Amino acid sequence: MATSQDSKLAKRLALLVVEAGEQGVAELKPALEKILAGRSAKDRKAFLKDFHKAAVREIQKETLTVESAQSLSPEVLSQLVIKFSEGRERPLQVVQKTNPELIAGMKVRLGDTVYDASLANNLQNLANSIR
Amino acid sequence: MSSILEQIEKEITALKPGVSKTNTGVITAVADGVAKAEGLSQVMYNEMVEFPHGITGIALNLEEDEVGIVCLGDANLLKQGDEVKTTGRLLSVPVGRVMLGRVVDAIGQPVDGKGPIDATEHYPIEKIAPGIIPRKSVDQPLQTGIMAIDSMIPIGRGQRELIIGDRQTGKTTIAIDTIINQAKINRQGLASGDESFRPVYSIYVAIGQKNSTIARTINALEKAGALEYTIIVVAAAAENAANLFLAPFAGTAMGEWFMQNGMDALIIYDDLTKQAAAYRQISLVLKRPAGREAYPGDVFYLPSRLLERSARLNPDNGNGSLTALPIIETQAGDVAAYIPTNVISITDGQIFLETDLFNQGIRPAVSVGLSVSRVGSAAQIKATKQVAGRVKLELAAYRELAAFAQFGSDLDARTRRQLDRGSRTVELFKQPAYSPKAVEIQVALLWAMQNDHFDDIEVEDIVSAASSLEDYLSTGKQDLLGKILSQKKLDESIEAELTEAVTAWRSTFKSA
Repeated sequence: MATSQDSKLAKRLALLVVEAGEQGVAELKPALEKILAGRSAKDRKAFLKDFHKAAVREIQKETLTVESAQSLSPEVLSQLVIKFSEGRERPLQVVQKTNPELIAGMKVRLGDTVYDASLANNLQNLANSIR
Repeated sequence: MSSILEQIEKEITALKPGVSKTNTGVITAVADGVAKAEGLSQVMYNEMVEFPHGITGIALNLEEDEVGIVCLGDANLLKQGDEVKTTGRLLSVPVGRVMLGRVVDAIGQPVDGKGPIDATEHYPIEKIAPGIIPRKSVDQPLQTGIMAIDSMIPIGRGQRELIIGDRQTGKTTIAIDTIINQAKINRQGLASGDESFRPVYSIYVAIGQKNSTIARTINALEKAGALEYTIIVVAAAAENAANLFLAPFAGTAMGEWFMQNGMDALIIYDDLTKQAAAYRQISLVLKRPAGREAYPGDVFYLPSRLLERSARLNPDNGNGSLTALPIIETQAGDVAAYIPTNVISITDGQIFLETDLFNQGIRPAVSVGLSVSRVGSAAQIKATKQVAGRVKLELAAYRELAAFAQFGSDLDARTRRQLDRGSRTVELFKQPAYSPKAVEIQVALLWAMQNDHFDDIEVEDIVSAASSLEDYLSTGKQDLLGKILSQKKLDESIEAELTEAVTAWRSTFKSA
């Protein structure tokens, strides 16, 4: 059974790896081997699960997911990255997705915050106000 | 049709396309009406969140990586991986006069099939209770119409009086009687055109009851013409624990609207034991640490934050009031159990109902010794004080004497007289369900008892004698009853008229 200390360690490690970027990934394997040495299989699994969860969360915080009805030009994407990277130490990674259901406009996700400027969302708000 | 199109056109014209910012999360687990979600890093405690399929929930547990959310709809429709969004709002319910006569669920949605409720105002279900400054001491009576209560354990507007007892001892009946009596008084008062008359609106919160029981209660209120002054909030036994937990808060918000708008309201929580059990269920599913009887540590805070919102406000704050009659079910008469002691310590008194008395046919089965109203006679009209001032002590002394009298037959005259009077008073206080008595009738009956007019009637005939005297007074002596009601005290002339009326009635009444 992973203790809360193990869980904290997994989170801290995930944060360090994401912050360090490629260098962090290179140093991850020996670090994990050192931490997991002498632990039971169950504890290793729990630790890695916590680490994975925390890493995904940290990566999402550094990733700008842009959804739009049609693919956006690189200029628009770079403008978005510049705008959302304001006040951050490192520029954000950008992932583009197309979703025709948005009709027009776009939906941007950064971490667990979603900015929805799609036509589909505006129409839904209109429908809610009439209902 | 054209008006609908016009409205749609108007909405489209007014539409300002913009960017909406929401904090989102993903469901990681759903069980027992509680969803666990990851993300939602900006969610607030008690904030409403939105799930797919129009289901809402309330964020109750904010942990480092997870949020525990109680679902207010059908949690079976949710699955792992579904998105959940914050709304930035606290759970609110519709309030106002439009709610009167309606049956709603824990979130204020109608369940009576009478169509949507056109409410213009909404109140959050959780609100900070009025502080010390806007409050005023309780001094106006709230008549339950039950003689044993109005004379011995008076309830005032703004008071919190607990109704406590085992199952099947008549707790709900007392509550329903009180609502019916308010409706009767409201009808009379509003018809009289008296501008100073303040009607009392009722809110009945049914928590964890069978639907058949709720239907019976609604039927009783409808039959008595009390539904038009009443809001019924229903969280039936089959509903999820979150609804049972929230229904009392929703009812309180509805009652608060009346209080804050200068009106008087009465709220009945039937019963808070089931709310506490629902809260325990939610807390255990949320993996909160369990304490005594597996209740979470903050279960004490649950009834207190509910009942503290009942108050009498001073004239500067509208002079409104919210009176609370919480109900608690005990197990085998144990008033010292965890939840009963919690609620007893919060309320301003309790009406304790005893199974033994109920089984002996003494109904309402009010235990004189264990029942108390901490507001006391401040919430009684002078006429009631004049005739009922000694009754509680007399009755308590009678119970003690009656226990001793079983062991011997040689009793002195004084003791015998006390026993006779006590047994007659017990009979006089017997009252069938759903038939509250007006205060002037109560005064007249108690006056007759105190002035020995029932002394030559056999004990077993007291109930029929009281009923006969009530009929006699309400049909032939309305002027006298009107005087008692308007003057609110018994002066020499009224007492003379009462003597004359009761003597005249006595000559017509014959024991069976």
